[in-house]
Amino acid sequence: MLQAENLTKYYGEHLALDSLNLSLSEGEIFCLLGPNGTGKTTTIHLFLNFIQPSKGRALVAGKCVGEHPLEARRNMAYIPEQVAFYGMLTGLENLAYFCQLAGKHFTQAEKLQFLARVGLPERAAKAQVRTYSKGMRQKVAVAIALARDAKAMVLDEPTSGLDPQASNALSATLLELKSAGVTVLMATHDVFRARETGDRVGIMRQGKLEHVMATNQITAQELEAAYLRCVQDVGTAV
Amino acid sequence: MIITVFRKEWLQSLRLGRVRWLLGIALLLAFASGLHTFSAYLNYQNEHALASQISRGDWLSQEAKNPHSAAHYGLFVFKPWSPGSLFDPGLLPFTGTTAFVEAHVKNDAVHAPISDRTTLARWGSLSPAFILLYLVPLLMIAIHFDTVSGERASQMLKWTATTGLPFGKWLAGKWLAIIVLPAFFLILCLGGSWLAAGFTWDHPQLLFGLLLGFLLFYAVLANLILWVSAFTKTPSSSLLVLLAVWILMGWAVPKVAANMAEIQHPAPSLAELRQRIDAAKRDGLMGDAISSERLTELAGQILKELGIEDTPDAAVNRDALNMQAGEAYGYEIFDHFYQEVESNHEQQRQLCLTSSALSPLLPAAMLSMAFSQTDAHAHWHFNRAVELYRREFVEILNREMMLHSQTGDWGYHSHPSTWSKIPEFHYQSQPPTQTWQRAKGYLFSLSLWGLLTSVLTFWIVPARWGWRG
Repeated sequence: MLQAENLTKYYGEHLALDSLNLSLSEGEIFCLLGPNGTGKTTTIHLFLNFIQPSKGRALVAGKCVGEHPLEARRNMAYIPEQVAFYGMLTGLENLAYFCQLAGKHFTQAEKLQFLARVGLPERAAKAQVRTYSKGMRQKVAVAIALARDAKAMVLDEPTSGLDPQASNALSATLLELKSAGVTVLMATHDVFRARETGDRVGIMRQGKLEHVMATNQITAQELEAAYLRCVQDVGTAV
Repeated sequence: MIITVFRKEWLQSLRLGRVRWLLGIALLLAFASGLHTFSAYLNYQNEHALASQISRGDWLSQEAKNPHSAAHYGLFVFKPWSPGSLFDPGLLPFTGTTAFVEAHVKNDAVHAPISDRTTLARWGSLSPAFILLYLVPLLMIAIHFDTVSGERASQMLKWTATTGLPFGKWLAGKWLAIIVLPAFFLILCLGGSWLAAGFTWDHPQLLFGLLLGFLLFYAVLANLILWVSAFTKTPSSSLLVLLAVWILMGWAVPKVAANMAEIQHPAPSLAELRQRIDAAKRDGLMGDAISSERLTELAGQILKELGIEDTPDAAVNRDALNMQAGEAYGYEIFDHFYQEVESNHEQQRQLCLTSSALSPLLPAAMLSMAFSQTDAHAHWHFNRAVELYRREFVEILNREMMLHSQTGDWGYHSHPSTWSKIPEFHYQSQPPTQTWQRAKGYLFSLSLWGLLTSVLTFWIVPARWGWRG
């Protein structure tokens, strides 16, 4: 579903992503771990075609995002670290707006159902988004992804700033999406959440994907140790 | 999808307190401008009817007298205000409304309405056209300056991109959201003016011209707002750049263009013009004093037109004939000098038209006055109509003396019924084809602006920035 072929990105002289090769199958959750500035967000932005690769290509459902950006985006949902919505509109109106832009039309009841599925009751759904917490905004974003029936989802540090309860709820939703066949690529610093939710975990270091591990083959402690080794190496290198 | 973006824009805007306040104030001002213009129009119409009646009454109530004395007694004619003045009074407050018609002299229209005003008039009149030309663009900027930069700053641009919506459609939805407000005010102001005129307009095609011209102007502004908002990185810089552009286009360029026009093509003052006319009458147009041969030639032409053979015993008053010949020579002088002034004004207008390459407000403002028939050209048209009427007036009275009295009979008196032979002055405004002909340049300039800004907005912005922001 999501593929990176020799994906490389330079910002001027700086190599931000070095020949990334990655393939995510349908219904797989892949977590990208790594310290800040190791190329996680760059990878996500390349899949979304927000930036152009210096070399290689990113594919969504077999289509190169550089050549077919709109088709690729129609198959994907994106949840950034800071989920922003139109503050003066309600959660329900925001969901309706983004679904309509994606060509999806629902009845009021259906829209409320999508929001209820991610844990946002009707009263909250009809309140203006400017009154929402980060967790609530994230729920709206996930509800939009559900409503859009996206085949793939990319998340950029979605648990940062969330309380444990909201993080748990997000993990549960991701597992629900996985069982519905949605492919998830998630960049995160949260080692334990990655081990718990992901099928595979990749650790990035200085723009390179160094280790890829299946989560059912390592313990949380082993994963944490591998991650810390990587962070320390970066610290020493710096 | 374009409509979805459009609806979201307005739903969001109308929930903002500042937008509701701005709209409320603008509506109030539009209403006040309508009332103000309507009251001035009604006031003038009443004064015009009363003054015309008094002047005509004075003329008809003259006792028996020599026709030439009557020609010097003269009468006043008044300029009617077109229904277009309810929309854009243009130069009407500054140009004369009253002309004195008499023998030998071509008088310009005098008594400009502004001369009755206090210093408060310095702040300009609040007309519907002023609201549409100056306040509505500011309103557009105040509401939509962050239409793209705000979405970029809040990361909404990237969010929206992930829906797979083509960038062009998103921009088109934004454009529609920007233009709907000025279109609403335009229909409100034009409709209000039309209603105030009692649903009558001299030439309905002029209303269409106003609608077309203003829509083009707003399309240009909507493009500029979108372009600047997409080009600048933060909402505050968008606002700053748009206000700077508006000050430049709205005040600086028109002011510089007007000054340049006056410097490059200076028009003579009225006193100077009168001096030159008097000198030409005295010394001849080319400095060759009018010869008795030329007067004889003109007198011969007049007799020929009257079907009278030019013999020494012809039954005409030769004094009256010579006066009419002198008038005919005066026509040539007036035509010569006034044509010079008109062509001078035309050159100034052309320079302003050229300057419209730097500001879309210039052609829009000139087009508004042209289609409202309140521009300088409309004033010249009235002056020409008055002069034609004066020539008919003098000719009727000279002919009366020429055919009913004898040479040297300065004591001849016409019967009072003679005065009713002078027709009433009915001014017909210039035909709409002439107005359209003149407005073509402004429309062309606005279309060019529209084309250029459309390329910048709908081609360069998506190609360069697009969803990548």
